[in-house]
Amino acid sequence: MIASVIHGFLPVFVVIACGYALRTSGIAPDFVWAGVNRLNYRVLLPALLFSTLAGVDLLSPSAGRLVLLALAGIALVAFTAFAWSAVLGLSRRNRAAMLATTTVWNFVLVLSLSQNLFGAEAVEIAIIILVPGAILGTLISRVAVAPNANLKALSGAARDPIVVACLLGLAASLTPLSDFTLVMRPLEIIASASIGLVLLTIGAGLDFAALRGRYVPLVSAALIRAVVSPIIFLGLGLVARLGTLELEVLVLAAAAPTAAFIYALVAESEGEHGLTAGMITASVLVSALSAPAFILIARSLA
Amino acid sequence: MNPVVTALIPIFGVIALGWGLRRTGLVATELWGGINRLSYQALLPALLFSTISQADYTGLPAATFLIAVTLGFLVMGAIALAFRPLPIDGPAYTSLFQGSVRWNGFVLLALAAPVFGPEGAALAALVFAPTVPLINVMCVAALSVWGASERPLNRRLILMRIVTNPLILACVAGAGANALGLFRDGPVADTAALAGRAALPLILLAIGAGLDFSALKARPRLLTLAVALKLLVAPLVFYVLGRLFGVEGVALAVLTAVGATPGAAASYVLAREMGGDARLTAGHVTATTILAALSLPIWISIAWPGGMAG
Repeated sequence: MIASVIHGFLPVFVVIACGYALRTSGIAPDFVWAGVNRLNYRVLLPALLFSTLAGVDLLSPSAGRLVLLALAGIALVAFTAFAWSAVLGLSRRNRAAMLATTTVWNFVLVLSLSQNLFGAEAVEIAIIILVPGAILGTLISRVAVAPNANLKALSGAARDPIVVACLLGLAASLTPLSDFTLVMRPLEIIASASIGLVLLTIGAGLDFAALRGRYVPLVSAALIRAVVSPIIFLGLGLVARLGTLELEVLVLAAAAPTAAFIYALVAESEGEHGLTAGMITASVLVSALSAPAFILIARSLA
Repeated sequence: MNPVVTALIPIFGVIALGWGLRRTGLVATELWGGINRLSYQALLPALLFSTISQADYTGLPAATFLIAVTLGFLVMGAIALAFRPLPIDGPAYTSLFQGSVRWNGFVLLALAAPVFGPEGAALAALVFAPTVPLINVMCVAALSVWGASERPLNRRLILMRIVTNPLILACVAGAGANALGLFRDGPVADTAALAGRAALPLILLAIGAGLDFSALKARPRLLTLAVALKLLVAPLVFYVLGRLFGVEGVALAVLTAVGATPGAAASYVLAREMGGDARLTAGHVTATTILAALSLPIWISIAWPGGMAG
């Protein structure tokens, strides 16, 4: 059992390490990643979300329960991060970085890991869990990092490519659009680039220098992200009596590292991007250990 | 609809999307250099290694296929040389030369798996190893003789670029792994496959982003000749050579498709670096990319009538 979990995680974390090696070796220096990140965030990732959602039946009875669990869990994680920030006395900018790091799910990474670890059936469950999570997490982080939290920030969040793609994909899932191969196939082609690219960009974005100093917020964010969050979702899943596969996917989504695009989000909003880079790095490192462990725990408790 | 057209429409749809992304500024012009670099330096090598190392070449005429494909490029070089007496300046002639011999293997790689199946994809990946150095040497030689660059030619640098080309290294490593039976599964194979999956979509988008329709106005008669050499003469040459060497079926179709692929954006980069006619080259890449959407299915249907039946 442990071997199969490690086998599922290994290629994903090796590709992440390759991304780091490509940047630091100069084969793909810093300027390369600006375009790659932009393309990924504005085109590939939305294409992946839209084309995946368009073909999924989101009206099944079990889907509603998973959606509610995902929303409740993210709200609880956001509340935990907010409350802990207050206990630490973090500034508004630092608190925003922590909220973004802890609440935004890494859609692509979780899809990839779900496929590797549990097979095709898990991917459909992951999508049902991830979509509301992606929308709520993106909205929370967008509002948190906005210089002035107001309606303008919310309208900006509503135009976010991830949010728009999710909403359009949800709408398309109610239509027969996914049957039109000539429309869907180009989207599926570009979407297929997203998973590998996201993993590489996570690696390229790792910044070990950013781990120096400000240890308390860094460690707090990483632990909330990779330990507290899966505990919350594990508890919710057990209370809701989820099946083994559903519980494993839910815990995987909660324990996986944060999405790398929040760095760009925080940087664009002139937030604490240095601290965010450190938090992302720390969450990747802690998740690499905690995610396999939580999968094993979920499997034994379900 | 026949399977080649069905496979081609999404591929050219992605190319069109790349053009749209650049034109609308959603992904600005200056960002595509980095995207191209990541694709060539990391993603494509991963894809080539993954495809070649795991391919099953037993029963495929890989040796005769490679001989025919290599000869095909040499013959196209000779045909292009036959046009040198035309009353055109040296830089414009280098565009004609590059347009005749360079091929866009990535369009074929994207097409190969859905149209030709795993056998065709394996053969298409194999083409890169001998042809990337050969074509680069031919084009650099033509540009160093007829190009207008005033900078001294750094042969050592060019040689090093060819020898350390990541596409060639990946092909050689993949062929070595295949021969030794290494990395057919396990973490190395999974990692290469995962990273390589991103290669073709990115390259297709970058091809679209590089299209320059204004360059189509550059020297229309010469452009027409260069396009005809690429899309009419080259596939005919590869097809005839295949028949002469006894290449048949899916292998003949892949061989003909190698000749029928559009021009490569790399020719534009070399033209700029070594004093070629970069605008004419940009026009050639744009025209052949658009017209290949029509010519590729026709050539594949000629070479592989059984396959077009679906």
